[in-house]
Amino acid sequence: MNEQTRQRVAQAQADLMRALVANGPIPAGFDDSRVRIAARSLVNKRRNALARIWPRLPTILGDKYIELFNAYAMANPMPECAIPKADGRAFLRWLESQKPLSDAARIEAFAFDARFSVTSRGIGRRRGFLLSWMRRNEAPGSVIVLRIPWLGEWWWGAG
Amino acid sequence: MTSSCSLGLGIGWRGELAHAIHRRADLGFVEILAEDFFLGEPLPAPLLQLQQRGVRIVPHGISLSLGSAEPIDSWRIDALANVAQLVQAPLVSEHLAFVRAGGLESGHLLPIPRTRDMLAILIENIHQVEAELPVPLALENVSTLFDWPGNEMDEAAFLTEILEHTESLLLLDIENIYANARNLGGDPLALLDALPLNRVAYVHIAGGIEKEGIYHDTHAQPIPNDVFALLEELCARAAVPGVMLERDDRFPSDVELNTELDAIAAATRRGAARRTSAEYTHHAPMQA
Repeated sequence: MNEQTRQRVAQAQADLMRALVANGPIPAGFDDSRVRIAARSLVNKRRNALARIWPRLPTILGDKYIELFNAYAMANPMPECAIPKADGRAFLRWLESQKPLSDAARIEAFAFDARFSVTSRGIGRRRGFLLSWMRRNEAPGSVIVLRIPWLGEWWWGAG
Repeated sequence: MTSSCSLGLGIGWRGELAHAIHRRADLGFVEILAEDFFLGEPLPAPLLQLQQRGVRIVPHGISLSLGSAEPIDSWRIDALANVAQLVQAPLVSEHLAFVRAGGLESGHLLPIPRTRDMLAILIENIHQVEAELPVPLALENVSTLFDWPGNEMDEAAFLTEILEHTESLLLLDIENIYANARNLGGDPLALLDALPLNRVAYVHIAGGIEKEGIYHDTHAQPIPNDVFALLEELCARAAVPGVMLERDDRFPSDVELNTELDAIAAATRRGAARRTSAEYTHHAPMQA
């Protein structure tokens, strides 16, 4: 296989990908309306997958979940590991950049970061020693987590 | 290579369906999402129990991007091989599609151009993966809402070429064939007639929904009757080693799930009965 052929096809695939997930122009020759529908359905799949594995996010955001996720997804392609839960963490970060998060949403982000780390290959579970806390904004008090390897993980004030 | 491993009736294993799957005694295999185990997670207890019962586990990958013209990440092939070993898989499966390009991830399977150039790239990629895997690879046809411009062959010719030039098997998704025929045209029976069905490792079947004139392959609705009919037509043409249901969302009750699995088994039997009676008719004059 000659390298130029690979590069040419790779370029065509990258152009189509940008049209589908990064608001790029639709490459010549494709059925524009179908590519647009496919792009929308990719966003829907991301949103539904996230709602399934992280149901507290749609619960917290309520009626706004669909609208907010669509706005996020249209401006932000999937994280490199392409795992819905990592997409959810990035979604929370994007929400925070728009306006301050509610305590409920902040606790979701805090709990995720206490337990998981996102890499390009996937989501790893954190197992080392951890003592971390988050001050609530909407009421007095804090959320505290303590993890001691082999012994367990304890949460205070998260309820 | 032809398919020899008999799998029987199967289902895509999902945590939400674990109880129903556990209670279903006639399952020969379950498919797991390979990526769930890429970082070395152990098998959850319900899967270990199925394995002890003799239910085969087939890892199904979605992130290899076999159809990418950019090189495949070798760590992904290693991870898939490790999952195959972890579950003592009879085979693993992946898609004839791409999911990443130019540093972006689609999060879903995208169609590839059916050209000679793409074919050469794909065959090279498949050879690379085959060389690293401890078990056979089955390749799945995908559904798409659009085709690439400049396709040089139809889907049957493209799939046949891939199978002719590799050792891999076919994971035939019967609902994807149905979806593509509805959205892009084409005759699903002509496609079945043109494929080397002796290379089918197993079959996917699922449901979808029509919205604004387009059929979406969602795996979240019951299987349409036309898709059952297509499964029967397939089984009337060839003995397929396994058939499995994919249900990924809007999970049904145990009763609904069992009804659907029963209907899959029934369509498979009807097709097989038509095949054997046709064979009998065909051979009868010679025996007389």
